[in-house]
Amino acid sequence: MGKRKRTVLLADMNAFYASVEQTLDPSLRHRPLIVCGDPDQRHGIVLAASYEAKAFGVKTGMPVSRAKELCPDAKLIPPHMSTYVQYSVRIVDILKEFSPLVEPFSIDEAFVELTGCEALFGDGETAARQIQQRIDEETGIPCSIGVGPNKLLAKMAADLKKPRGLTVLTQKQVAKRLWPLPVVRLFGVGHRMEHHLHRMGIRTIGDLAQADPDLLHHRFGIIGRVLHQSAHGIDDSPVDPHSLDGNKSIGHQFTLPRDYTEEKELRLVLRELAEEVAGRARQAGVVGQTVSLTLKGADFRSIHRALTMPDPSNLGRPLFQAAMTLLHQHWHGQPVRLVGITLSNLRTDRGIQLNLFEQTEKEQRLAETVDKIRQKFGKESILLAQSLTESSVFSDRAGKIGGHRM
Amino acid sequence: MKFRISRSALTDAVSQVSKAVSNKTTVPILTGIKATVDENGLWLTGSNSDLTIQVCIPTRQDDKELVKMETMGSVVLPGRIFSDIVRKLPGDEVEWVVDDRWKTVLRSEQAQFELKGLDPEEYPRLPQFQEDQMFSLPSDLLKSMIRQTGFAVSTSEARGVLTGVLWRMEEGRLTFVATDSHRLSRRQADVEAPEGLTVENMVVPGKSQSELGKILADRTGWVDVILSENQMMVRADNLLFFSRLLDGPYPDTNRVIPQGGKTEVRVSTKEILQSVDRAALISRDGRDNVIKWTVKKEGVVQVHSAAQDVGSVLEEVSAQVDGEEMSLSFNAQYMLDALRAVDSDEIQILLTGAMTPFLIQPADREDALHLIVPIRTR
Repeated sequence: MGKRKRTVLLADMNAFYASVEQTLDPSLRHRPLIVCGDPDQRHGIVLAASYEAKAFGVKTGMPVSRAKELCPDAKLIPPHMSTYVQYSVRIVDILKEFSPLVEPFSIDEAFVELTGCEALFGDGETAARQIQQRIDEETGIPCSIGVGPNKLLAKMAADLKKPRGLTVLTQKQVAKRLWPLPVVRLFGVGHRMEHHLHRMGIRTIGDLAQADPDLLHHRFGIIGRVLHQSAHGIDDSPVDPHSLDGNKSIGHQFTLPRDYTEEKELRLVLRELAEEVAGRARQAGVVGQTVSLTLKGADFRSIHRALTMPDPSNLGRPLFQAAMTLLHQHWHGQPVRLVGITLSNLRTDRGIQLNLFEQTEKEQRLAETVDKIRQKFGKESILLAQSLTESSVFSDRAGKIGGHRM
Repeated sequence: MKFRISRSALTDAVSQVSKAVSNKTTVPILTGIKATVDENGLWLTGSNSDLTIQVCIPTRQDDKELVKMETMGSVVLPGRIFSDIVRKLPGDEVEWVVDDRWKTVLRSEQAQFELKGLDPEEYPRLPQFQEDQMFSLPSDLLKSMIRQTGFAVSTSEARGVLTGVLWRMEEGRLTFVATDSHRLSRRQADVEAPEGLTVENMVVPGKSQSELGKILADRTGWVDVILSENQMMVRADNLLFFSRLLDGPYPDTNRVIPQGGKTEVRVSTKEILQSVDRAALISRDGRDNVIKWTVKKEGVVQVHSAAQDVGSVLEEVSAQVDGEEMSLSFNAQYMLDALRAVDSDEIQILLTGAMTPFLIQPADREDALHLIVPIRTR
């Protein structure tokens, strides 16, 4: 890209899942709407809230019970993932008419590299206005657009005004518009990082920009330097249309219908999640070597630990064993409300090294046969006998479309 | 403590014991080399938590006087700097004087070093062995057994006993087994042992065993192997080698070694080795390093490898084939390791199926075998 001045744009669909639902069903428009897991099962968290619900203080990721307290009139509906995916694809197609370099960043956000397209669509702001209008006309979904000289500032700009915002952020405005913001608003700073920065006396993005980059490097490694640059609005990363092509991990998490405190209950959930993740890995034609376990409870910080297995696998049993090892090492009986397993360090499964002491080949054939039966007769047609017990989450899982990526 | 010593003999001995000197400072004294001189010569000792090496420079060897002792004594010197100094000393001889506070002066021609030594009483004692669990074998045999099995151990710390080599002893027959669970190598030999000596589960750490192989490199003659509960000692001329043994039961490997097969192949070791080596030029860039063999009735082994972004290779090696035709894929490196370890012009390969382990043995002997587990391909 050289030293040439860039124009990058981020289109962020506002309250995406809720907006799609409101577009499809006019009776849902202009009223508080919450998309969440099955409300009857006390299923965890708010996946999306319409702006009408957000006005009551409902936030994404909040427990549904809390959201209902804040906004008792809200209409609760279960998610329709495949519909959202279709909308997302349509929106990306619209963006691609403005530039060949479109990077889908998540289901409801995409970067567009407009550099060099100015002659066709005018400057960033003009192009953004056209995009906003077309998305609204063709899909009915409101979006906020941020325009900046790089991806970082485009993203920060889009977050400054919602819904239906259009914000242009230049390098010169960084000090005035970003530095007064709390440091957690900076792209790349999560709650954990915020906590560390607070302990160093860094509370605003401006504080971070003024901090000693060597000290940040010493404390956080290379991430420290990147954050320091970010606080100055500097970011060289290109808009990469293929960034989502290589699936870097496969994971599933599950919010439990009640708090689980018994190892044997968690054991069963892990067994089922391991089978699920392994099945998806087989479907994707990959094996993975690193297994991570996530546990969240109502009253403790989440536990997230990883283990690298001796051999890569896409079978449920080894994944489950690795997850159990992690559970034994890091869980001390706290009530658990959310469980997740992720398989990473992926590679193609074209060659699987068989093992002298294990029946890898037999297990592989068994798993592939189960996969075929499920493809033909549905996920619930064949399952582990223990999945018929009360603690099982399986029957619940099988009905979901795709579940939710971690 | 005062003596003069041949510098070249000292350099050799120091480089041998340095292999055992600890780099970590958890036990500070173990970063040192212990030196003890008496009328027999100079003993040097290096040690870490896994192994201990003790080397003697005798007073006389082949009519040459190597050590001229004036007063006996002992000292511990900092290992790294001491070995660097010895290597760079200018003269043929080193004069070595230690005072009663362990201050050590090393003098060779115009160079004079003064080193702060440590009290040798602080240095850990060597483990004691009863000599009832002992067997003996020629050094050359031990070296070849080490060379033919050591490569098959697992290099991943998490694999426990599989990072070591199993040494078993039964009715005068010594067996080495090493496996990382993807391939296995076994070597057997008759050795000199007291009647009735049986050793079931002695697992020598792979790293210790390879150090032993290196340190025995130019030693000939016989060596004694002596066992205790959790340690082993190897005794050769002017050398004592101690290693910790690995804890835990080694898996039963007899049950995984196939007794019969579907196809038997006899082939020239050199020809098949060279063709696998060539095929590996294509496969080695892939993460699995997969090559494929197709064994054909008309008497050929077809060697094939393909890599998506590189290209492919195909060649045929003539062989004597009995039994079913068969195709199987495996890791080329495992095959190269095994073929290089085979001390025989011709090998016999016993195939049991595309997804089950196959055996490679010297055609003329039964004391060595290598097992490779195939890669499942789609």
